[in-house]
Amino acid sequence: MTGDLLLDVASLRKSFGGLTAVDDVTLQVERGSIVSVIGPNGAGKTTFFNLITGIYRPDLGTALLDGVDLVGLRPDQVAAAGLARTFQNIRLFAGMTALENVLVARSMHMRSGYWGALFHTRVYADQERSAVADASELLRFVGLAERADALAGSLAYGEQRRLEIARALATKPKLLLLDEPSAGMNPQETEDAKALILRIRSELGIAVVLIEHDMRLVMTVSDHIVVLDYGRKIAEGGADDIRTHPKVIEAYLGRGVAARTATPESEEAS
Amino acid sequence: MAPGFPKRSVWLIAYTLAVTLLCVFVFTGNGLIDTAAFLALLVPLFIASDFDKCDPRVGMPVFAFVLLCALPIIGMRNTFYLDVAIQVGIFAVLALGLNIVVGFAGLLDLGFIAFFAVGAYLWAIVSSPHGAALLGVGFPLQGDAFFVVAVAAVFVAAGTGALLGLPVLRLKGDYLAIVTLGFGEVIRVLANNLDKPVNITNGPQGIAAIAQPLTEVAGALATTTAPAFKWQALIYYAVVLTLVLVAVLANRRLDSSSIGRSWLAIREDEIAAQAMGIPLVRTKLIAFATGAAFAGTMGVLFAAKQTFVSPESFDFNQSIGVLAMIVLGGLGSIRGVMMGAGLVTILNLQVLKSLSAGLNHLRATGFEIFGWSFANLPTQFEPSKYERLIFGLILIAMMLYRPRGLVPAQRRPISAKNAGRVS
Repeated sequence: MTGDLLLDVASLRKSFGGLTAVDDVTLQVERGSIVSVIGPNGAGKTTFFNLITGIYRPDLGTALLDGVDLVGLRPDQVAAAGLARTFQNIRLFAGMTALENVLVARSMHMRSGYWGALFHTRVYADQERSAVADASELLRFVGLAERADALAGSLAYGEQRRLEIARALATKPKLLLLDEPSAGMNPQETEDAKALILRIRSELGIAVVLIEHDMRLVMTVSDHIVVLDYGRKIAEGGADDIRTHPKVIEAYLGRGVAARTATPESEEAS
Repeated sequence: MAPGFPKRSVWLIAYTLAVTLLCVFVFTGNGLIDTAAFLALLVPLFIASDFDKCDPRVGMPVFAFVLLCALPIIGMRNTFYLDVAIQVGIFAVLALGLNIVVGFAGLLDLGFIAFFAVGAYLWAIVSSPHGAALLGVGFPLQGDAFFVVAVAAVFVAAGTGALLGLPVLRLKGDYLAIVTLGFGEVIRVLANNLDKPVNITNGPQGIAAIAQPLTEVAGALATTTAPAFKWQALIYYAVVLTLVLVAVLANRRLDSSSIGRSWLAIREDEIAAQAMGIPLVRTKLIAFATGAAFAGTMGVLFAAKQTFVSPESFDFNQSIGVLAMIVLGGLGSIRGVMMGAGLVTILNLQVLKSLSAGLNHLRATGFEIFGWSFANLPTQFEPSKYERLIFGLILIAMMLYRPRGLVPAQRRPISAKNAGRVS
């Protein structure tokens, strides 16, 4: 790959006991691109996200975000370095309002914290006002402006997914990791999610890496697709390469099907 | 609320004035009816502080009237009530402090009273003859150094909180609770045993003759009808009231700030909070230290008011008592927590005691009901003897029927207008 590298993950590995969940995975994301990570259940996709966001510590490998090595950082330091994420099973702060959820993610960019709040300094008040304005703007961006004061736990499922994205965006990331953004959504909601992902790139200029099972979504938004199976990267390339890649078909459908549909394609399309 | 003067407000004002007059002129004793009247006087505090239902333009004056006018007058006639109010105030601040730790940040702390002990011993040592023997020239401090030491206690207790918090805050949930319980006991055991090799705490005998603040003011105001000790009580009342106000303000401001939102986020989902850039240990430490600071300041006041401290005042039951207050009132809800503190303290200090007194009176006079004489009532049957039982039953009932407390916490909408201005 050429161009301006934003994320450069090299030979990342993680074992849990005897199971190697992520085995020597390499991933490169260019600035302003949308990359999908796909693979059957249990392929190690979410573990891969957890490794680069500091939730697990990799056994081996490096993950450079804009030159900063994320390996060994705590999750909050990873967020501060410019990598934000959503979760596969939505993890909002259910008892707080939608706006507050977004504001929480703004905390690290607010300099006047504790004493400013206690003594209501001017800096604190200004900062609080601008944070609320920014957060409201983000809610508008994901189409939740009307729901700002609703408790996050009371939002509809699709709204919760979008709120999670708004919250992640509030950390002002350079790169956004979305873990199954369209899981459990109907076709219309999936279309909306797709539009939102494209707008994150076009309007905010933020690169996106998504884990996704909805192949229509993956094939239409991705600049680049990486396929994992049993913790290993088995293929990567553009949508067309992946669709016909024998190893991918094998991983998803089994060896027999793969043999029948096999076409003389390139082995590894990267 | 509609403009003009709604009927409910008229009722509230009339009720408050009527009960005040009754308390001042009729029910001035310590009996059951007097207690009931006193409790009736506290009801307007609860109603008037609910600004969702009560117009602040009516609520604030009513609130101020009860606290600044009615209570001091009643208290000057019968200091017992002033004492109750001071105790409620002390526990209200303790509860507000613990509310930050447990209610906001969701860190179950079973040893909270330790920080209260730190503050109490701090003032006890610097202001008593015992401390003078230990510290030497310049000690004991004059009573009026109280105000300086109270401010110092904020930092001493916060520092202790941070020190204890640092090793334990990596733990979660049950583990954290057990370790804080241990630390709470450690502080008490230290107080109990630090009388040798160097006598710092005077061990189980405790420290006596602790100085009181503003004694010269109380002395100057003394008259035959209002002796100095009443004025001293009134001074404590004023100090407590100020501290409660400061504590409420601090609670509210922190709650609506970015640090408060971070605490809540950690309580709701630690992993998500951390992934959104919130440093867990640092944020939890701030909660721990802030809660400890509240307790430390009140410890100074407690020591001054009692003029005596001993390890007994800081046992595990006290930690549980404060925890019960905030659970009863509503975790994370400032109004609820204050109410919980008020109810539990008054129940312990006053209601059960006056029930006991009432029953004893009936027994002594041999009062008969349906041919059965109260003289036959066993002496074990005395409400103040099983306050913990009654207390436990109330807690069980609460958890069954109102698990989120008497006044459940609510999130208030933030708008660009009120951002950074909640006070």
